Amino acid sequence: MLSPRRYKYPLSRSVTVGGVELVVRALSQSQIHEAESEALSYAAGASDSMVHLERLCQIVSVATGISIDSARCLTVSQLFRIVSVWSEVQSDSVPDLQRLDAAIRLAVMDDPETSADGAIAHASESAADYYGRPTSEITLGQLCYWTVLRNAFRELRVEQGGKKVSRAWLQRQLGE
Amino acid sequence: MASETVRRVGIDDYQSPVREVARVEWRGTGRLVGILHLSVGELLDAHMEARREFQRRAIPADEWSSEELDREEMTQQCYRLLVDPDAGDASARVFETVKQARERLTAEDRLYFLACYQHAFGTVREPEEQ
Repeated sequence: MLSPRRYKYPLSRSVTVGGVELVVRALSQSQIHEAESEALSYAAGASDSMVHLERLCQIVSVATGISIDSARCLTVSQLFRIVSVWSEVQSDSVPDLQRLDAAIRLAVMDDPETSADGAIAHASESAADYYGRPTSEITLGQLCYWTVLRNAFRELRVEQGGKKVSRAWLQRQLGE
Repeated sequence: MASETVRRVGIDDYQSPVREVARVEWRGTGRLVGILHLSVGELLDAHMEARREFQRRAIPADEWSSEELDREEMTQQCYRLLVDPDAGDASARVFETVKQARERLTAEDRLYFLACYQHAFGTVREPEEQ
């Protein structure tokens, strides 16, 4: 079973387009909204389909790190190929909260690294504080990870009187 | 993990010098022309330039002018996609200006070239990714 700590980092996947390997990463909601605003600004007055194409170029630019001019040099089929990978990455980066909670609670109890991570999360004032980057750059999956980790650590390690569940119940939640 | 055949370039170097060009005969002329696979930026340019052309002519872009706007957009696309078949890129367009394309392309020519474009590139798959 994969460690729940993978949700701590923005998920990414490689795709090869035109012989060039690009790394496509998940984006925060702010980054997606900003891409939409940029598209509406650039393609003001254009049809919905053209605004949508420009929006996809903006998203690909942010998700891969290539410049927006380079993104506009892609053909439509290349663009859609990258977007389909991004869409999978974006979707996979958001965890099932119940399973994540169960996995983290097990890890906080069993894994020193996660327990230490939990202590840092508990001490942090916000997700931005924990990750050391602006909230606008934190993906939904990362936010979920920090929230669940912080709560689990607080209940299991700090308060000790919070909701406790058995190891067997946790493992059932994880399908083990 | 990338295969050894993947060409690694800087992230912002992604502007392939090699463009896909299909060769077709311009019906009724016997002339061979190239149909260039347009980038998203070029498609956007054609779309926005058609609207700017309407603004210059003070024609409102509404339901009454939508057919004429579509024709202008097709002209803009044809201007960009018709190239010298041996040049292989956008530097050697068949028409020097959009005005020339507008004057010399008939409605049938525009539809024919755009149909050729769809046939050549509408369902294209990147061969190196297969």
